[in-house]
Amino acid sequence: MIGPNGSGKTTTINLLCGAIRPGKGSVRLLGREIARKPAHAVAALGVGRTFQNPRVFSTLTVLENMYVPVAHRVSPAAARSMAARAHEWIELTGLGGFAHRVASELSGGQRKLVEFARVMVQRPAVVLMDEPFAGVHPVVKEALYAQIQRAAGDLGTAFLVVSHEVPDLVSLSDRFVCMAQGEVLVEGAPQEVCANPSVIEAYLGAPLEGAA
Amino acid sequence: MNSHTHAPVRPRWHAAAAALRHPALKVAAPLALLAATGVWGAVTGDIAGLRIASTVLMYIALAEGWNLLGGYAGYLNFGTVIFLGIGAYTTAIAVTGTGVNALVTIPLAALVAAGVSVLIGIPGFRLRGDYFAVATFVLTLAARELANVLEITGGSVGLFLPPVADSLGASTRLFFFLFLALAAVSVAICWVSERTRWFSALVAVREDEDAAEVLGVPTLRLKVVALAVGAAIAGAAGSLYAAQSLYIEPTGTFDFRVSLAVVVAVILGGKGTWYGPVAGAVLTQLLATQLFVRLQGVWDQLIFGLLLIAVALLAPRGITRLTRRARGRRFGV
Ligand SMILES: Nc1ncnc2c1ncn2[C@@H]1O[C@H](COP(=O)(O)OP(=O)(O)O)[C@@H](O)[C@H]1O
Ligand SMILES: [Mg+2]
Repeated sequence: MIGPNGSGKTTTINLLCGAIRPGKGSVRLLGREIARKPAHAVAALGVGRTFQNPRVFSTLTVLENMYVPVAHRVSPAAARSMAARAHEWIELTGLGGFAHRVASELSGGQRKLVEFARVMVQRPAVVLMDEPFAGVHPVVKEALYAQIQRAAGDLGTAFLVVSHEVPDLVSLSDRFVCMAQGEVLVEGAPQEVCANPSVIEAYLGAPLEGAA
Repeated sequence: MNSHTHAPVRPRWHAAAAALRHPALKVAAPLALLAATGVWGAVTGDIAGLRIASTVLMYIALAEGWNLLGGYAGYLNFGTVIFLGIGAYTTAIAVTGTGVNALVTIPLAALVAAGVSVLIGIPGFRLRGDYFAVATFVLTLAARELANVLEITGGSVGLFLPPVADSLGASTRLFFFLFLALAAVSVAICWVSERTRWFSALVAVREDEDAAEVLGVPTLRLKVVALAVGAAIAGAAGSLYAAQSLYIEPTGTFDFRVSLAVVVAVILGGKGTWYGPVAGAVLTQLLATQLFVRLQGVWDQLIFGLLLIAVALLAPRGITRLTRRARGRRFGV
């Protein structure tokens, strides 16, 4: 999902995860109306998210942050597989040495990575990511792209990613949505959306290099 | 959860300093003092000493129960005495109504207090921050008025209970051990809580409740459970209080100063840790019972106020955490 600042991308994610309720209309997950459900119930149905400004719990360690979303699911088997996944994702996001550090000691970029790992540990069916790559080192960013593709391929996870890394997203995405002024401006195949004159005018400024 | 598994080799005095900061040591001193008082009382038949020790133990239990919601989840609750009073009245009503032994009614008192806390919590937790704190205070006044006007509570006259032990000495010893057991259970509840994944969710509620909810934490259920466990502990304490006092009435039972003393004890000791409330309860109650009997009236409240200000300035995270370091941060790590 692309679009200029203030176009409603974060608001859309807030709607989809149940953090805010729509004034009108509906939000459906596999045909099921979820717009009136409490946010934790939407999360339980398999909708996970990250925040644009990282919201890690600063007095908890990185590992404990991973446990927060699943803390109430107390089945020992689930707990064990989750703990294993938490360690796996801490390694995958390059936070290996920081598992037992309290989050308040992390840099802004590292907090982004905690957010990324935290949502992946939950294995949601739908992952909503609000600018997950902002402030992340290019090499780590490439690794995250690979992890997104792996999860989408292996687990069939659906990703809705808000990002300004447009050229990278073109090859990563199946579909593009461009928002403007609180509405969907254009929606379709990545190349087509980026070549659309109104998207160029409202957001890109100039045609993407190498775009069709 | 262990935050210092890979501590590097450090100079010996660092190791000594680290050992001194170990939580067990922080409660060891106050508990040793308390145990000494208890053993001394049991051996010599010093009833006054045993009663002081029992009071301290009761406040340890109340403070640990308060800590679950107030310390871990960050909800300032001025209503502890509501649940203490409900437990006391449950026991008194059950005993006067059916003639059962008061001690049999302890679980019932805990259950009723927890039940009422759920009824209060479900609508009450729509309130956050200052509003929640004020609501718990107002409810205390409402509970006292209710006890004052209801027939089943004996109105302003109150209720009398038959003694459970043959002599004052036997009763004092018995209740010392019952309060000791209750305190041990509530310390254990906090200790265990800090080692479960529930703890992460409770702290998440304290730090950013909206984010926790969106991430999947059923925040309302979590807060209600935390409140209810604390209320059960307070209810059991109230049951013991009624069974030992043999007489309860609204003003003395729903005394707001009890709630306040619990909050002060936890804050002074260090909220959000299993050991802070222990140290805080011992300190404040020993001060209150030993020092302030000689300084009746405004002086005891004034000294408490000054103590609170001093701790706020010198050790904002409580006397058991005198340093300013965040949790998990250690030398060289
Ligand atoms: N469709 C909409 N209806 C109502 N308010 C909207 C809508 N889209 C955006 N806004 C408002 O615009 C502001 C910026 O939106 P936001 O979603 O944060 O933008 P973005 O994430 O695209 O930069 C928010 O305060 C939001 O309330
Ligand atoms: Mg945004």
